[in-house]
Amino acid sequence: MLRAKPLPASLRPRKRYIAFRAESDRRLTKREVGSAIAASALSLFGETGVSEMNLRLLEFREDEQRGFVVCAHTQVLRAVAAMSAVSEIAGERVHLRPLGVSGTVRALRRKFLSGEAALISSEKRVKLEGKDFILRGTISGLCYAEPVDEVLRERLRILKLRFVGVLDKELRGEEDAADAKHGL
Amino acid sequence: MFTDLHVHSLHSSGADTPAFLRRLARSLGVELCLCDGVVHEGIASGMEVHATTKRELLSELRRNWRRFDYLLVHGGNMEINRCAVRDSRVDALLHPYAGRRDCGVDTVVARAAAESGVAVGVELEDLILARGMERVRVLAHFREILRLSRKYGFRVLATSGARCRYSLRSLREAEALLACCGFEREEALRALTQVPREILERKVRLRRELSRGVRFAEG
Repeated sequence: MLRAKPLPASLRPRKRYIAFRAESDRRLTKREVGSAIAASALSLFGETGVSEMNLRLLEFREDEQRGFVVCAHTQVLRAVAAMSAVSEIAGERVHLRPLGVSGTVRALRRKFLSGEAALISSEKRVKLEGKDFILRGTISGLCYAEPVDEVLRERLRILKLRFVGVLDKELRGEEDAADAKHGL
Repeated sequence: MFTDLHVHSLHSSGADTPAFLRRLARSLGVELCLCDGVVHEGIASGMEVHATTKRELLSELRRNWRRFDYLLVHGGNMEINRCAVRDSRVDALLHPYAGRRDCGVDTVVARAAAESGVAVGVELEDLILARGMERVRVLAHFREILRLSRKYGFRVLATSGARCRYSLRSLREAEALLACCGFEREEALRALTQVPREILERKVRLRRELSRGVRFAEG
């Protein structure tokens, strides 16, 4: 099939690439993230608004939970708002956190999508201020623990979460200044 | 820096420990203040007052205003909205539109807020979690509050209202969300950075006073 001749550089639409990290209590797929961004943008700005934005998910690495979208160069604020307004996917809380904006994919990869600490999975039983938790994962000192206590589990269910966020220091018993004095 | 005055930790209705939230907030460039109704060491601590009657509100304010770095009032009821903005012990009236068809700020509330210096708060969580027509209403309320603030000159405060790690927003994200409701860049930055700083500094100033209007000379 005959392909369209590329437009001269001066006539090509200018773009911006926005890198983001998907944060959730479970691993998200590219399809889920793509449809969540599209639905959020449509809900916030309508069909006319989204057509002006030219917003598309270009890449999403499911192992790292990071990717990037492309949008028109004048619509970065709207694209960030659309990603920021994504609150849940399949009934669980998520956040698509923008990492940075760039004019080229190469610069974006170099600045924002290289070198990320990996999630370390575990199944360890831990205690925090007298309560039992099962440690499920740790990334850069941030730990995600599943409570055993039924009251806490119910609170998480209401908030559409699976885990409580705890610092590794707290689990090791090194009290962080803010937490020393109060029970949960 | 975005100073977020309304974040809940595991000590109230949230899901994460204060230390976890503080580490996360630091990585986002957000200054975290916890609104648990508990005094945390090393973090500005506040309280969100929930009251159904004027009498209950005044008694809560009397009991707590010296304990915390700032006091926020959960709005919605018009009687509470009016009473809160008239009382200078209150730092901000949060979501005055909660459970209402209007934005909860009329000319009486707007004038009183401008005179007493009580800020009127909009919460990003209300916007993020709402869907369909509910979100349309929230956006309309934010716009109306902004319009009245331009007219009467009361301060608008923006907070995340976060109950979990996924609700914390960076300055850039918060600014982008506020821009959807018609906030100009300067107005958004004022609501996110300047107004919360003024609230925290005011309490420090008040604590230095020996009695009303009398304090040690500095320098």
